[in-house]
Amino acid sequence: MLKFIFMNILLIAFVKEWWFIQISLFLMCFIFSCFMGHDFSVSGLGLSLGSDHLGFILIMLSMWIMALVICASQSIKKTNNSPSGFLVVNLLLLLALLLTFSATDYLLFYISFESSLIPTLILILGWGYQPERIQAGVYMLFYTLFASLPLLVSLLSFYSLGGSLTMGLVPCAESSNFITFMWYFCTIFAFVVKLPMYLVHLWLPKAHVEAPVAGSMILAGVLLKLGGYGLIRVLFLFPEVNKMFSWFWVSVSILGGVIVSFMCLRQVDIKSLIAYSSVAHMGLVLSGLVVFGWWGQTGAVVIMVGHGLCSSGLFCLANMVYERLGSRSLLVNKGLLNFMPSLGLWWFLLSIGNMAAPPTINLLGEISLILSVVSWSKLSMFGIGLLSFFSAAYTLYMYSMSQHGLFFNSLFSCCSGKVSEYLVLMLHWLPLNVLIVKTAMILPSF
Amino acid sequence: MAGDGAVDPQVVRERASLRAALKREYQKQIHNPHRHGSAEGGFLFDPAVQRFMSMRATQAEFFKPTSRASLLGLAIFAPIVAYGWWMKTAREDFENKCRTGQVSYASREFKFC
Repeated sequence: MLKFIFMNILLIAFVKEWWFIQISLFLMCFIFSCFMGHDFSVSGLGLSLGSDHLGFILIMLSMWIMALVICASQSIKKTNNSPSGFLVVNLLLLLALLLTFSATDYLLFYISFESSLIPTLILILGWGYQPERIQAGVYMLFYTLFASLPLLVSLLSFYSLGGSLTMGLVPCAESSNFITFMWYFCTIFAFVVKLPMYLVHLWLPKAHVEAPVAGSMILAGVLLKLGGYGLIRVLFLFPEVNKMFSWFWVSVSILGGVIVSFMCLRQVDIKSLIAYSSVAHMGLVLSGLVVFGWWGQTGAVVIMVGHGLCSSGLFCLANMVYERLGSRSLLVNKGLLNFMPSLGLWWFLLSIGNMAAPPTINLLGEISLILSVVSWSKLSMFGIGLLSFFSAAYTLYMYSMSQHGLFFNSLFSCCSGKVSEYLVLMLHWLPLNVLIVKTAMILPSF
Repeated sequence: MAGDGAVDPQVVRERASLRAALKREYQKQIHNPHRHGSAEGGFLFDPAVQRFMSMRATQAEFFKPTSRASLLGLAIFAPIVAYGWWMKTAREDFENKCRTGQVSYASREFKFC
């Protein structure tokens, strides 16, 4: 595992050449999949690092998305907007993510979980382009920090209870009294805010909208999955309390997802629409995780991978349109099929991926999650039905509003589509649609 | 007054000339070949579009806590808790029935829970 950490750190020495970093990140994905991608329970153990199947899936996702982030941020290189500083920040963020997903020690996991916030903040503040980004950075930082300091306390309590914080060696909190409930709440609140769940989701639309394309892609693609990954790692430590309180998380996430889907239909900013759709998807993920079934856990991981690719691709598309037309508003970005039909293909393919159409892995994940939550309680079908329906509704709204109809009269001429952009979008779309034939690659073997 | 039927031709002519001046200015700006040829893209700045987008973006800053806003918050939170409670009680009833043997394992729809 250390070979990839060192490769990441040493890449920082080569940030003067953009192409080198770009190629090396794809190379890193390839080498990682060759070295760690076989049937194993855990591999690369040493120095509190190790990659089991779940960690393998998410490390692959983070390296892949980071490579695509560098490809999609060519405008920073072209306008010479501190490109080497940008690459350094992205590589540090990738380092934090690699450490988080490969940590076999809860404290290392916590420290890298928190440290992934700093490069993200620097990305938003340094390369974002609107004055509202200050407030967005503050919201993201303080929401996550406020929720995760109790997590540190709870991890230290586990240490004093069990004498070790190694994953798998930490004793479960078997009782179900009030103190254990507070302990449970402190532990999972950090991940619930990170996911995010509906009532604590306010940081997400702000951060996603104000971030540059790199920040949006990495936020939607990987950082939200930190919450899901953390929940998978800590939820089983509180079996009794979780069974008592899972009804609350299921209800908030599903009904919250429905409410957020309604809000999506009212958005005029494309990035805001995609950001709110992330909340709806992650709501389904959270509900699948807390019902403690095998289908729910695997469906959650599959949706995390699929959503990471799909949302990241949609943010990439929104940025391509923004670079040309100078606005994120749906009033201006409409009728794009008239003069960017090839990009319209990618809008269509990624939009249908967003609404879980076959053969995307989103379909597999959504079916697994629906089955698991319905197996827990058939009454959840009301909420899930509304959630799936409105997820299709707002995706159709976004696609037809941005592509169909007449284009905005006051547009000036722009480039209709570059091959490098089609490559980035294809690299988002290909894993999303092709992984369904070998789902053993993304179904974690618990 | 609107709907009067009687129009003042002088006012109509004045308004038409103002409108025509605005249209001429718009046509001049939008058909600027240097702007189109510079490949920077973008769109002709429309203050109405900007005002609308700024209004939507800063909606949260103009929030005033009123009783109607509090009712809206309650209308969102209360169904969440009620729905969750309904699911909780239904689930606990079902689990109770399983544990006391009223529902046999073979007749369960979802096994190996």
